[in-house]
Amino acid sequence: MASISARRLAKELHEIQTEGCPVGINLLQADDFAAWQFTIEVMGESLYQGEVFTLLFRFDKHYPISSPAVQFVVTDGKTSPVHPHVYSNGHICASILGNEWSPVLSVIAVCLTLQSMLASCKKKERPPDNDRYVRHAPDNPKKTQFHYDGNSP
Amino acid sequence: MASYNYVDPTNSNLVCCICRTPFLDPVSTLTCGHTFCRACIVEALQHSSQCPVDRLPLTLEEVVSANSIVRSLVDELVVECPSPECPHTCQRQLLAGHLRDSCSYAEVPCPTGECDQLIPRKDMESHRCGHTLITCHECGTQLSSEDFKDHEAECLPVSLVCDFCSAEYSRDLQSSHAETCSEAIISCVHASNGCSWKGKRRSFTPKHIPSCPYEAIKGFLSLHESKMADLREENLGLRNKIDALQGHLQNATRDLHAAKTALGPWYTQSLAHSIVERSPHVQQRVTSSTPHVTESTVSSPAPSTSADTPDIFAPYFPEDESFSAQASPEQLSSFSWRPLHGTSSNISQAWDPASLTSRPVAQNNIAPLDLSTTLEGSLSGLRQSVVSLSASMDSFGRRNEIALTNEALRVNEEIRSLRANIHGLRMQVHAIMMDRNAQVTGRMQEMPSVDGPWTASSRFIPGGPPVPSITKL
Ligand SMILES: [Zn+2]
Ligand SMILES: [Zn+2]
Ligand SMILES: [Zn+2]
Ligand SMILES: [Zn+2]
Ligand SMILES: [Zn+2]
Ligand SMILES: [Zn+2]
Ligand SMILES: [Zn+2]
Repeated sequence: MASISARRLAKELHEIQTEGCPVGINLLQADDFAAWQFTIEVMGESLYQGEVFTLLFRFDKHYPISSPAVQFVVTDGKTSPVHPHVYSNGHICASILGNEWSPVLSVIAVCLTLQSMLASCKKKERPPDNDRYVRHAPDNPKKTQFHYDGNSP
Repeated sequence: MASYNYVDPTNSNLVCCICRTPFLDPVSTLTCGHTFCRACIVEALQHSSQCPVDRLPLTLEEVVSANSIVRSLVDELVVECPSPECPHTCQRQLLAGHLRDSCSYAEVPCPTGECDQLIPRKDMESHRCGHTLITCHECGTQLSSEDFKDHEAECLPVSLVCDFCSAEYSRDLQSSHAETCSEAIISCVHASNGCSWKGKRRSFTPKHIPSCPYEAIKGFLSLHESKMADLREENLGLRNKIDALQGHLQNATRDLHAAKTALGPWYTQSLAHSIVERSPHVQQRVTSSTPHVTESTVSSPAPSTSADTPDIFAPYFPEDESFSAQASPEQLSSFSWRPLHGTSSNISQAWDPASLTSRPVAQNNIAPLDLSTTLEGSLSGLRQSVVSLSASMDSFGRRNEIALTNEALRVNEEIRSLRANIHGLRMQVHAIMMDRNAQVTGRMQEMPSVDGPWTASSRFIPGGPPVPSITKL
């Protein structure tokens, strides 16, 4: 008997495979229901023209009730985008991955939100506390209690 | 049953947005009207007390079972049987029954209950409990049923010695020897009737039979026995019949009780008893009440009082006014009372709608609840009252409307005259202002218009910063 999270992810994967991903987002790897990878690039005019990033989703057995752990991959020569809400270790400070997560959202919905977060960036810079955070950051970004300040997109 | 395979693509309105499958035991929120599976929303609320769709605060108390239409829509979705080989499809709500009762691939527990294996229903006939122990009659060893078949062939009969005649015989002849051994101790064939003889088989027929007292009345005894058997059978049939009748009686009692409750004040215990006693007094009452009962039931559609039954029901309805007054005082206390004399024609005459509309003063008179007629009579009376009441409501509404229109016309007129007055005043004020302005500008010619920029700044409110185009992440 498959768990709720596996059944829901199977459903999402089926939809991705039959209907395809939105423009700029591609499924890289989804071999199991524990971790998926997507490539993400910003289409049209933006500060990240021509850059392709890799997103890693990790799911626990409570998905979709609890949010997936999402981060940019920064190994194998891959980098995280330089953005005021993205740390250099790939962790993302976004409220929909934390306290504003809703089971109604999906993997693709998260991808689209992050894509639009990059597209709307005005200035390429790291978060002000980047160095301090990266030194002590846990492996799983969900263990971090981010403070979502008012101007966070 | 946690997951189903749906045959057709499901309408997206019937899909839970948490698990993305058609609703299971759907529930809706009272606050925002969203629908989820019960299990899904319960789990989501444990995580965060808000509606997953709109993030409005939500608690478990505000979640109720969904509309029955939604429930039946998802219950009627066609699903496949989960058994891999079974081609059966049926409505979702019927699947449990299919698996329980008819699916030949469904795994069911061992019917004997002797093992806890699950066996596909189609293999039920051939199922042998692997570890049920069977005792071999020949050698007394205990074996599992699987091994027993082989053992039966192998097991060799062992020879035994008879206790009575000391003859040797093989085990499979044990029972036949016991029946024939002439030395064995047996009791008389009439032992069941009381013969206490016991002895060796060989002496039974030649010695005991001639002297057995029961042998003589053998014919009578067998006759007696067959008669007893017949009686016993008859007795059993009668007992069954009594049981059935008792059931009927119980039903009848329940029905009677329900009828009693439904009749309310029209049912009186004492009259119910007197009809059972069939006293002459009741008979008299019956005949006296018959005419108006039949009269009032003519228009009644209720089948319970056809024309031939009033003599049964009439006594149930008392004629004394005091009883009816106490029957439901709170319902009736607001109306003025006027006794009626029990015929529906009487009621309809008094409550002719035409006379009512012309004489609205009579509106407070409501037909009294008259217990001297049948229930149907009173009901038809009440029905007529309602008809006339609605008619007078109608006319009242019409009169009201006319009065309202008149009043509105009058008020309109008044407003118009007031408006004219205000206009006159405004003209005068304007003239005065013009006068004063002329004086002021005459005095302060060099100063620019004072009130120009003041009005402009007060009227224009600068727009706030543009709303961010990206939704908050
Ligand atoms: Zn809602
Ligand atoms: Zn659900
Ligand atoms: Zn089946
Ligand atoms: Zn068994
Ligand atoms: Zn044996
Ligand atoms: Zn013998
Ligand atoms: Zn005898």
